[in-house]
Amino acid sequence: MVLAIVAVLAWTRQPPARVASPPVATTLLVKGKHGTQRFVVLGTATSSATHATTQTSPPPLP
Amino acid sequence: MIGRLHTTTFRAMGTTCAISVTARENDRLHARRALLAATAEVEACERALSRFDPASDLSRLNREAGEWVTIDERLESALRAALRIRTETAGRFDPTILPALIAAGYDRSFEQLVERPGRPATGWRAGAAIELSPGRARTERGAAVDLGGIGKGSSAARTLAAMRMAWPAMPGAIVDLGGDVAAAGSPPDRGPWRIAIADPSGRRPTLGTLLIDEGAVATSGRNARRFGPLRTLHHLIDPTTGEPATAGPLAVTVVARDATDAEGHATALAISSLAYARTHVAHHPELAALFVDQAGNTHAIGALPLAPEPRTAGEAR
Repeated sequence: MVLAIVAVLAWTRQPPARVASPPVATTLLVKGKHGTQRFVVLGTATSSATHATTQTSPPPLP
Repeated sequence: MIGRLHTTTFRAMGTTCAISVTARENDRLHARRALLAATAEVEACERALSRFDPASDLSRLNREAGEWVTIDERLESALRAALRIRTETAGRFDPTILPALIAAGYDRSFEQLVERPGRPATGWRAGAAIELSPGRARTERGAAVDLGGIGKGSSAARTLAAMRMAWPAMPGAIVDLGGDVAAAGSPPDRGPWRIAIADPSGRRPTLGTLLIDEGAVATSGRNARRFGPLRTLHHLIDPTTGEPATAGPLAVTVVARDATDAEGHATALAISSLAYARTHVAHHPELAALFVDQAGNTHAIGALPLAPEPRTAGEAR
């Protein structure tokens, strides 16, 4: 009887929609002998995103 | 998916460096170790190869021209590669153009340059001798070396190797030292690495995207680091004249197996005609290039691994 109720409830409740989570970036600061390093952990990337850009070395930032 | 991309960014070599490694969640410590090894290698390369650091091995070599100088293995391997590429490019790439570069006005770190007219380089000749033995180097008296872009290319290659050493099972990594890019393995989505080519004319954000499984990309051009009166001078010295080159493209991107080769050959093609670039790549089938002429037209040379352009609405099938 209990099993039947659980089965009916499971059948009538729609599973939650699978929504793709937006990219998430978290930052981790690590202090070492070379100073503080900033690590960025990126979430999933879309297939069209580029990983790097090649260019003539731009002028240094002021 | 193979986990996530873990990235570190920092300033070094007068530019922005971005280094990423592919790692599963339970490999975070391996990823962190690889990124720390990468940062340390970039810093070590800068200490050895910078001409703007008086304490660098390169600065000592230039100060003591004519004498044998003990040098770091990083400088030794960069010099060996530079000499090989000088031969392969028939002198169009020449690491001994420093006196001419200084005479032109690029005599200090770019952000500290003061505006002055260029001067003719006197007492200088192209193709000066550099002798190497394990751990030591000697330049011809009166000569001076600038590794310039090839120093960054060499550093990118070494950085990738340092990451592999820190984490031999690393699934993939990409090293971007201000546009000199070296890649290995796979990104998290398992496809090739996607490397955009910036449009040197500025008319579009990018000219296309390269798909690289294992290899390197470098771009050389005269569109960015300009200096002197009205910013009319640039850093690409023509070894045959000792002055900033007048011929050549706006920029050229070279794909090669190794970042040192990509940068060295890009520098040579950046002072060359389109016809020479085509002949050069035909003789070096391990290279491919995207040549952007001074009118902004693009010319793909060799087997350039460009991603197909996305179809636009209304395009005929």
